[in-house]
Amino acid sequence: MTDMEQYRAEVAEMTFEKSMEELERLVDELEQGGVDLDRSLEIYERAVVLRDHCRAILDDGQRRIQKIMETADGVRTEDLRVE
Amino acid sequence: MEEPLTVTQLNTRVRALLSSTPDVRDIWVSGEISNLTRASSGHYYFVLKDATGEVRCALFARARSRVDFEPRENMKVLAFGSADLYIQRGSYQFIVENMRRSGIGELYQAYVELKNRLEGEGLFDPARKKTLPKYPRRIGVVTSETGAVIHDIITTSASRFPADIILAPAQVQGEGAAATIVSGIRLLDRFGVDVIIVGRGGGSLEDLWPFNEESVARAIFECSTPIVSAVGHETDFTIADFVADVRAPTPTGAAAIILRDRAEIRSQLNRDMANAERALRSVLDRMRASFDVLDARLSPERASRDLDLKGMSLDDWWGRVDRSVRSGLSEREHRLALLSARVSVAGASQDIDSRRRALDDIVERIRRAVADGMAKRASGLAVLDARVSPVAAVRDIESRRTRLEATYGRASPVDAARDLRDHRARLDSLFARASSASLETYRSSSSRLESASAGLASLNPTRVMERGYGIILRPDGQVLTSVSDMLVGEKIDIRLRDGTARAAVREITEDRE
Repeated sequence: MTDMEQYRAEVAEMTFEKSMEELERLVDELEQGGVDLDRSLEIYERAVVLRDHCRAILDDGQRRIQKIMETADGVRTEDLRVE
Repeated sequence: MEEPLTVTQLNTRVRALLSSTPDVRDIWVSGEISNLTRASSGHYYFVLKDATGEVRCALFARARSRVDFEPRENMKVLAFGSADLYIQRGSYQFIVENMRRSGIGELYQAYVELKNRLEGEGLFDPARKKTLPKYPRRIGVVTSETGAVIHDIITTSASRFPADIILAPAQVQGEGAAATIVSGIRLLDRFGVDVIIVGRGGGSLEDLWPFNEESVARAIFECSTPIVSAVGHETDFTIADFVADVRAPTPTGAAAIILRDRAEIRSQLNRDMANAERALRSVLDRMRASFDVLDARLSPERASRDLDLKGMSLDDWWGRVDRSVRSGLSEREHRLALLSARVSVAGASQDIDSRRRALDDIVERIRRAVADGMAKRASGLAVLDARVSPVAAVRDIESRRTRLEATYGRASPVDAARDLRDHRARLDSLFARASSASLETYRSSSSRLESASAGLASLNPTRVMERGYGIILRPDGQVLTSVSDMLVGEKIDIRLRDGTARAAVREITEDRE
């Protein structure tokens, strides 16, 4: 597993908020300057991975709308239809 | 028997009786609204009742406009109006001209008391408020399953950051409502959501009352999940609003506060990436510039680039070479002038005089030597003569003297003068040659100078500039070769092939080794 593959796997587990924070941190680091070419390219590649991850979350229109109920049998959820 | 009245006549008489009795005219009646209906005409019909009785009431649209609240079922009111009879039915009703809410005083008193107590306990403390998650993936909602609240939240959130919505249905008004709200909050907190909205639409103080109950306030306070309250309208503040981590004016507002707009997030992502790209590009540009330098050092082009760079400083060097060649030349010219002066007639005669003196010297020395030699020979001859014959000796001496005279005869002053003329001619030719040699030297110096100039010309900064390089100068003309000599904001001149551009230094980035 290359470093980048490993990073991709890490990002896949990240929350949207964490990804955005990480992205902004990386951009800051890159903008500060003073990093060599290898590190710059690595930062950029990571930024792309994070952006793609964030976009995937944003584009996922599949949100669930459910209702939750507590019955004698325990907690139960079911899809909610609201007109 | 009197003629019987018709029913209508009776009702009319009773109606007139009621109308003329001040006891039932323009009076205040207190009671609770029930069986409320609102006709399309804008009239309201309801029953006003108390513990033991009830009366039909009518609030006509014209009178409704004077009432500053929406009449609702179970609402306790004070109604102002008069008793009247509905002739067609023969039933009496109370015609409401104006209406006030009653019972508010007690409720309000309870509200203020609870608010002060909970505030004293620190339930409203801003420091205790939890921060809302920036990007919640799952939102819990505690409200009525059928009300507008859940509908508004679902609709508003559609265009925003995608989050699941989980409703914990609750009764939001009336008896037992507070308990369902409390269990909804606790259920969602246990189940695990990122944020909870607790809310209902606007209503009377009684309607909103569950949100002013202590149990709800405490459930909100104890909840580990951040809570946004969305109760009533902008102006209604419930105790739930004070305890909640964030108060939204409306349910729609709650959704907007919790979920950022999707397009806004997208543009922030794009901004971040654009910044990353720009930063990376600037790193690459800087690297490329360094590579160019390295590349030049390692490639045949290096020489030309090197020369180009050196050409920049050749201006100076050229000046020095020029001066030194010129000073060499002028020295030679000076020496040449000196030589020429010696070659001049005056110089020559001076020279001849000294040579004449030297010749005179030589002649004198020769004479002495000859005389000496002759004396020695004479004495030697005399010895020989004495040994051979005096006559032969004398003869011998005579012939030798002749030979000697023949040999040294030229050493006479006349001969010496003639000799000097020869010397002078030789000197003249010598000096002529010396002079032409000097000229030759001068000429070859010039031609070397010319070829050096030609060589220099190819290294001339102007030629270099023809290839697209520029010279950066301070306005005072000093050539800048290092960014460390520059200051941000300083004016600089960029001299290119065909002119000069005035510029200002905006940013200085020093290459790192």
